[in-house]
Amino acid sequence: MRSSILVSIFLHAVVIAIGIFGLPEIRTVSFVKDIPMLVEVVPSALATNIPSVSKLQKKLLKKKIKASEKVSPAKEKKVPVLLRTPKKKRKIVSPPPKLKPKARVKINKKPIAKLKVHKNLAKAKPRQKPKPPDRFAMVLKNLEKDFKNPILKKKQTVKKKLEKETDLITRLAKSLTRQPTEFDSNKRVTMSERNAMINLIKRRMEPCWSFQAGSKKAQDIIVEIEVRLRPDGRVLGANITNRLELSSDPFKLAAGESALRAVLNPGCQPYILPANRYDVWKDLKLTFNPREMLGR
Amino acid sequence: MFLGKSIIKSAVKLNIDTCMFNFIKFLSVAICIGFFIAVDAFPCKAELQVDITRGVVKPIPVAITNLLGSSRKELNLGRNIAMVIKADLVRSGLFSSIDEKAFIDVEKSIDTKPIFGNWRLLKTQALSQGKVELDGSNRLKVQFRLWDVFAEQQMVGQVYSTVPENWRRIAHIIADSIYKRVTGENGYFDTRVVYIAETGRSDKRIKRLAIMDQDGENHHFLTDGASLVLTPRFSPSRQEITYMSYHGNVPRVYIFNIDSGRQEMLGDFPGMTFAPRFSPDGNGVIMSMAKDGNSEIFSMDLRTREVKQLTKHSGIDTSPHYSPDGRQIVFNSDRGGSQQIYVMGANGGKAKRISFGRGSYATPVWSPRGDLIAFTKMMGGKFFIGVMDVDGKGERLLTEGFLVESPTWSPNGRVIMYFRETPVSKKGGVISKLYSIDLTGYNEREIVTPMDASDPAWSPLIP
Repeated sequence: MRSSILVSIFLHAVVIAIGIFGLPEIRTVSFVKDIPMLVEVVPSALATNIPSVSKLQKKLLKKKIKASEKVSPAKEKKVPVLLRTPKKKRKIVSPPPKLKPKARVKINKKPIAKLKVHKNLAKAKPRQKPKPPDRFAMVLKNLEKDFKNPILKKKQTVKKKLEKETDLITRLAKSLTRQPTEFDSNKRVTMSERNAMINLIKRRMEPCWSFQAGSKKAQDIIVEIEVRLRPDGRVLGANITNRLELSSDPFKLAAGESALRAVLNPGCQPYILPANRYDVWKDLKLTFNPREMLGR
Repeated sequence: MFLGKSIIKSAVKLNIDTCMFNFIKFLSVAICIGFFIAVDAFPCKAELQVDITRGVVKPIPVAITNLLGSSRKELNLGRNIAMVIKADLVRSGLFSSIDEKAFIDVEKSIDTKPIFGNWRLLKTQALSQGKVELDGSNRLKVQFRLWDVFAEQQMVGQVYSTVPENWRRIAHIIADSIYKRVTGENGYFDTRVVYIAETGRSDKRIKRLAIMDQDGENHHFLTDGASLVLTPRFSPSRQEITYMSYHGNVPRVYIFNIDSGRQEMLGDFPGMTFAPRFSPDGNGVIMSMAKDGNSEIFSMDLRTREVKQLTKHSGIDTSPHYSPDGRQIVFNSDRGGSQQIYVMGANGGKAKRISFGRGSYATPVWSPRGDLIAFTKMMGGKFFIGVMDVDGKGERLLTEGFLVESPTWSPNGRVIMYFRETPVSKKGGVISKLYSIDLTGYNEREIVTPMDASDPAWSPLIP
């Protein structure tokens, strides 16, 4: 008996609580998150819609222009100004299907009144200069207008969140990998620049390498030399990196030394290379192999 | 109902859009990470990598200073040695000598490092210095150093001791040393050349065996000219020459010992023997024998005098020459209808033709390096000296003329010597000279001899 009273009190309390606070939201609405996708689509949709103006709309536009041209010759000069204003243009384009022939009559009757208004506006806002690429301006203006829309604002905040998320991923990727210190747009060299420098060094070096091509197995000779150049294009230092390998054979050693002499030869210096690219040509790795001399 | 359908449609569309968004998001993140990995994996290296695949065949400038000495005699010797070294190196075509007059400040001692800056100004790449000493016991001591001017390092440092009369050989040995250190190949300056010295009218030509240093010095005759001699060849291991002589009007192959001056006929063959050559070890001779209008190739062991016939063919087989390893023989035969070059095993057997170009081929000679075969070629009324690979490929003609013949290799396999006949009168008069040419076809030079010369044979390096 006592327990049944307690149960009854509890249930009543629950009913009262529901009455006051309402039922709990058991199922969350998931599609809210999906709304921002529309934000991404809007600008491009508008842009792509612009050219698809119907023939009817085009006719209306032409008729409006004709109507404005019918205005007295004294006011004729001002009509083009009116037509050129972006706002007016936008008005013409935006409400396409609802326009009726009657509306056309109204427009024809009101150009003088509008003219006055716009004359004042033109005086007040000289910054509204006519810009030929109106489509883009329209898109921008539409966007501006759309940002004022609260729903779109919400979409925008979600978009910002996503951007932040992407930023985080990017930073994570950067921190996980070594910092590419040389990947600087100022220092970056194009392939053509690099090839030009390589060709210049080749042209300068080849006449200096006196090599005995008639030697046996001359085609197998590979001499690797590391060179450090000074900013004035002269050789600061050079050494044969595979000297140990070459030392086993007197002919290979002689070939290596002849290549080193070609590098160190003061008569073949300086190398006239672009001074602003010193970081690129400061260190050279030269590989000497006489294959072209032997027709290989 | 219509409203419900549209809600479902929009919900479905939203789900599709969500999937698409997720996919794009995933894709962009993946691209982003991939990009940074790529940037890291292939960084824009500052170091330039340049492949030099072509050089020039240009003489290397060297400065050969007179060897120092303390007495007038020593100074004279020093000057003469320097002259011979210079001449050897320049004649090779691989070196050019800096004019002595351009020297800025010649070092007074060879025991201190040269002032390399002075030598660099002359664009010299190598500097040779030396010193001559004559001691009381009439011994000549020659010190020599070779410097790399650009690298500022000593390349060679040697001391030689001999009797003063050998100063020329010392000079050749120093030249060989410089040649080897700079080019990496053995030199050929300390060598001799045996050849046929020719004098007299064309119808009464006197042909004598003569020998000289490779630079034409120390010339002397080995035979008196009473008998016609042809095709002399050096022994690779001994101071011996094999040649063909018409002694007693019977053409036979002989061996001549240079040191003793003794001659010996090789066997008593029934027919005419000619075109002899030593085997690479010097213990055998290979030659041709003509009998009954046919010519075959025979070998003879000089120790046992055992003779072995290597070819048996109706065609004329001649001019045999061993490969440096002694395993093969290259020879000349017309068995295929025209004179061509064939290769067979050292013990005979099946021969393989290796020359297939236009014209006919003769006097094949295997390079001491073993990689090439030099030959004489007759084509279009002209003679050529050329080389080909041992399989007959890569034929290159080095020189041509009215008559160029009898190529012989320098011991390093880098230079070919031959003789060239040039007509001088309509009556058939010719002059015959020795020439050498580098394997690359450059640097053709006349070897000056006191008289007309033919059939040269280059010796190995003098032991």
